[in-house]
Amino acid sequence: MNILRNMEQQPGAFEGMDPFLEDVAEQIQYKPVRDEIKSELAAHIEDRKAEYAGQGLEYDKAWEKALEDMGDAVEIGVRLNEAHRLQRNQTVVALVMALASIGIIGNIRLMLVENLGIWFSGLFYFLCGITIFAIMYYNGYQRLVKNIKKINIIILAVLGVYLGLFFVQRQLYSVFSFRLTSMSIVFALELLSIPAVLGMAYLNRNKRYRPFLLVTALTAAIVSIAAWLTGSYTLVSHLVLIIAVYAALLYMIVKGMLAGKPGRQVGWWILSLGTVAAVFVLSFPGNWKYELEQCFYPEKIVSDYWDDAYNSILIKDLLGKAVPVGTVPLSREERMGYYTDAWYFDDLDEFHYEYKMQFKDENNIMLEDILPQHYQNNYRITYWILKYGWLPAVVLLGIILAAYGMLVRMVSKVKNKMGKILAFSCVLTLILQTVFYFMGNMGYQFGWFCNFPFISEGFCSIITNMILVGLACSAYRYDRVVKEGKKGYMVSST
Amino acid sequence: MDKKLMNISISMLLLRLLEEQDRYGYELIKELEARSENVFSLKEGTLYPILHTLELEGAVEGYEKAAETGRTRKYYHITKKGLKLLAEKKKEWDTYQKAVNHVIGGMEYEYSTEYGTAAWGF
Repeated sequence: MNILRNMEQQPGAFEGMDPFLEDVAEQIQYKPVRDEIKSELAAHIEDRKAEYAGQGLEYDKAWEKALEDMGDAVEIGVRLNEAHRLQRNQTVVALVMALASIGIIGNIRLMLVENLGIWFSGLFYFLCGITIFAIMYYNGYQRLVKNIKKINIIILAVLGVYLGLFFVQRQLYSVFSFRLTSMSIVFALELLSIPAVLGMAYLNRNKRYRPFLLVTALTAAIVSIAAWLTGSYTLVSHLVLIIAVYAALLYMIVKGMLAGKPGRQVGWWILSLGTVAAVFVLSFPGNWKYELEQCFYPEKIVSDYWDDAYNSILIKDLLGKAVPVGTVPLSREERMGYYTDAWYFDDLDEFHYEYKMQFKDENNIMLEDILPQHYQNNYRITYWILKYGWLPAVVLLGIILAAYGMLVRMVSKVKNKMGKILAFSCVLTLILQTVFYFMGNMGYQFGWFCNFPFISEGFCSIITNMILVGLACSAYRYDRVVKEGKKGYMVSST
Repeated sequence: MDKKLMNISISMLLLRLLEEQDRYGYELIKELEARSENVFSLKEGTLYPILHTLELEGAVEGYEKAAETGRTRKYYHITKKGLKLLAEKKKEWDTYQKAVNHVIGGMEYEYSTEYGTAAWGF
């Protein structure tokens, strides 16, 4: 657009400049920035030409000399391309695909070995997730930056509508069924709100208290509505939201991204975190004592073989028997004890014992029969250790750690502050989920609902986490071509 | 001068000029030429990759502004990070300059600078 404005001011000038500017532009691979660069160079050439003309040179000579002063168009273009090229990060993309492949292979194994046909739908979500990752990778960062306010409003609006429906539904039907259906939506919105909330904070970074007020208001609203809707079912996502948002906000303070004195900002940060934590604790409909005991002292609250406290006790006991390589060695009696739960519950009634044994031959009890229900989702790491041994599990965990290590390295390389904070928050969200999942798999389960990003629970989790990782990779990809405006908002070159 | 060294010193000089006030590319070139008595008379197009790299690093911010003639120009504004970078570059340059002077001027240079003369080894 600017180049056209310049043309109007200097009739005929543009024609002469055109081949030079085109030669420069052709070297720049990212086409959306070409016009802006051409415009800047055109203004320079015209200024120089005007000076020469003012010194008495003829129009054509002035023009020629101004172009000559600029130097070699190709060299300039090549060097400008260095500053404006899209950054490729194939290693990170390959590692994310490797993680998804671990999840897909797990699903295929379930279909083939355990004949669970239902896991076809899981594969479908993996394919959707990979497609969404590609879309986010190519468009996510720029779209988020441009529409960040709208995204926050949509997240709050959807949660608000769900809250309304929740109250109406509670009057009409059972709360439980509604909670199950809304779990996925709440989980996804909570995690996706993390970069959106931090993006809003960054856009208001020069307005002293506003970033803290915005983060407090948005996080408190989202987490309290989510807690009301799903309670302890998505306790981990509530916690991930709070931890990720406040860790990233602290990161912004430490890196000097917010205006004002750091000491005062830390004070605001503590006040904001305290407010959100208080709102969350008060709005949480579950029992905190129960949640903490389930995580750290499951034996205190275990009541029957169906609850998660028992699962933690069971897997801790089994992990203690795992070997470096190979399936955990268990005697026939041990298998019987674990399968019927009689190893832990001394007062197990006869009905339960007979009920369980009617499905199994006591000589043919497998590891999969012993493990908690839904082990294929909730205890994937535990299963690797017990089925293949510690060493193969460590290798798989090594791949996962390498992927996260590469993601962290990628974030550290992002120079654009907005991109850095968004990528940081997305990667932190993935890491926190993995930490909670790992804790659960070692027998320290917090809350009810836990996911292993890219690997387990291939429904809502895979899509949400692919959006997050796609956004982080996208921030790195467009790091050199998306810029910040002087007024504090983002100006995309597209 | 070595190209890389030239770029480092030019980026330092550009930051110094922007420390005074916001400027556009052509203005920077003119100012650079005038103050260096045409020593820094580089091919003008090569200024922009340096400016754009500084912008990428967050040392300067670009914004568009219409000039009195109505022509739209891209101005550059030095950021806090740019000021910090300038201070670092100045320090590096001082170290470099001293080292070169020591080698070229030897002990005589040190003696002469100690007594306040600007002469090189005389």
